[in-house]
Amino acid sequence: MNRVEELRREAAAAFAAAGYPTTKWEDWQYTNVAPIAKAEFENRPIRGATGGVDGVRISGWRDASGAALAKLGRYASISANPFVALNTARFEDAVVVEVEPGAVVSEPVRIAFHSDSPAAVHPRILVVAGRNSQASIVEQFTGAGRYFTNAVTEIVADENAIVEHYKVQQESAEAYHVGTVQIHLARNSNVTTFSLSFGGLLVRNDINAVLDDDNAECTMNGLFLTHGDQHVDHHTLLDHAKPYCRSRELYRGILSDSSTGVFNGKVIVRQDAQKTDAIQSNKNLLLSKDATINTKPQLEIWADDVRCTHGATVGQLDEEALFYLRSRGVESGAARAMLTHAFAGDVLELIKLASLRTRLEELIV
Amino acid sequence: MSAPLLEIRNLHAWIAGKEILRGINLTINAGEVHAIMGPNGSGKSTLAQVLAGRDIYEITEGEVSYKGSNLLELAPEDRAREGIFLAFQYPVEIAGMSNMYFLRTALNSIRKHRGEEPLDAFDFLDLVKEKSQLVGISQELLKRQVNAGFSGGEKKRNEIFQLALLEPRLAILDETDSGLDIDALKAVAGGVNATHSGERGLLVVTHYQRLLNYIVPDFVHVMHAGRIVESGGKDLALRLEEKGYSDWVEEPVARV
Repeated sequence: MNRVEELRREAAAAFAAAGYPTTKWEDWQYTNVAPIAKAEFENRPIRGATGGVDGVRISGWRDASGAALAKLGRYASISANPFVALNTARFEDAVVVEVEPGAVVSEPVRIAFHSDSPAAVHPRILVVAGRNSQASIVEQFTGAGRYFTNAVTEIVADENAIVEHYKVQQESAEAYHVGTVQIHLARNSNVTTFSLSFGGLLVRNDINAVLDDDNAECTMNGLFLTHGDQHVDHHTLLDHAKPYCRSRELYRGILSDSSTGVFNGKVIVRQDAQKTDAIQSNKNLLLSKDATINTKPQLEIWADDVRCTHGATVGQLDEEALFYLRSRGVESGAARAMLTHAFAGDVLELIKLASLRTRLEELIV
Repeated sequence: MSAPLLEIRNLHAWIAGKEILRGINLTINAGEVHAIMGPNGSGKSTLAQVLAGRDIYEITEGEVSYKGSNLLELAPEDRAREGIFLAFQYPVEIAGMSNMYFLRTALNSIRKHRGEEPLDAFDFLDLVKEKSQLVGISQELLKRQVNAGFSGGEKKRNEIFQLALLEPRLAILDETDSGLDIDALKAVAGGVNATHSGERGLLVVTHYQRLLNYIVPDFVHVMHAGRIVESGGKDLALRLEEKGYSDWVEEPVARV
């Protein structure tokens, strides 16, 4: 039995045992996935990834190197999250991105998923960044109609590797999207991940990173915009396992109409992880009195020589700033849009890919 | 004779159950410079904000006509487009918004209202260069985010730069001098004077006479407890500097 078959079998058993999470589970308190469970979508397999640019090999799991294949499923936990188990049990092919050691890849690797039939898809991505390599990855999710995307991405950064990862979620207005991004950082590696969430009716993103050796650095940035009855939940976990690591987290939410959002940002500093430097910031802008956000920073610190800060705010557009703009001749609606843009700018200005940044700026308001 | 630029008749304004303006009368003709002086809490800044359209104040009585039309029914942006400009006492910091983008949007909103073509980025830069020299503001400052991290003096200069750029008919300076050192004060006053003309009116709200050495008023009004209690020429400001506001403000009979 090959490794993938074994993984699938274990994952299927784990999912059968756990079932879909309910709102009685602490991590799922604000996100009710019953509509996904009830929908009983057919599984639509995703097949065949090929391509690549200089220094990067892209393949399905069958053609991946043995070293890469050994990492598949090793980091995203099938016991911690039933949706990871479901993805692992059901994915047909995986997109395996292998960045050669020492390669500095300027052209981003773009991976796009599009759904337009009422089915469940289980996209699976594995990024293995070799020693001293540097690359950026853009995942894009789009679609039409009602369907369910259940994505898992594992990013494994070897020593001194640099990875920039963008997940752009623009699913259809009726779609369900659940995703996990699982990051593993080796010594001196540096991984930045963006969650840019615009679409979907019911969206849950888990972004987890383990800083597993000295001097690793992980940045998690996120921006979500919600309208109508959308519900978008981000659960992030930064697990500082070793000393001298740094993490930065910046999440911004903009909520309109009667949409709801959740931000749960957990930082664990293990006993070994002295000199940890962790900063977390979550700010939310409510553009309607019917919109709701639940934000919860969680710090769990077991080491004694660390610097950890966090801040969470929820507010409306600043009335004084609005008056200031209007007093300069800017029409009220345009002034609101400009202030909303400025709020989103905290995250958007950190996007290094200019074309992506420009495209997303246009999506705001 | 044409209508006055601004005519305020018996204006009353309230906030949070308190009457702040209690019957203001004031007429400003084109070309005139008026100064309003008065102690803290007399209602000077409220008057400035009410004229610009701040909607936290409730107008309960009175009229304001601007170029012969009812000003009070206009939204703040329409007042700006019609040529009213308020230099804020506390300019607002807007992190994440570039100053240049803000200024170009503002200018083009006003140009559109005047039936003029919007300025593209290149023409706008040329204009910014010209006007920044006029008011002595560094172009580096203009490239930053709106007022974010500016010193008090830098914020005030940015206000006067906007005044020069937007070319209003009626400019209202709300304590633009407070907190400025003498060099900054001269620079700001120089900018204001450079933009003044016979077509424009200027209303300078200030606590101190000092600014009026550099922006010389035609009329000085003393405001106290929501009313204008005395009006005169520029000599009145000098007298105030000497005597304070004790003629109008009740002093305690004996100090303990």
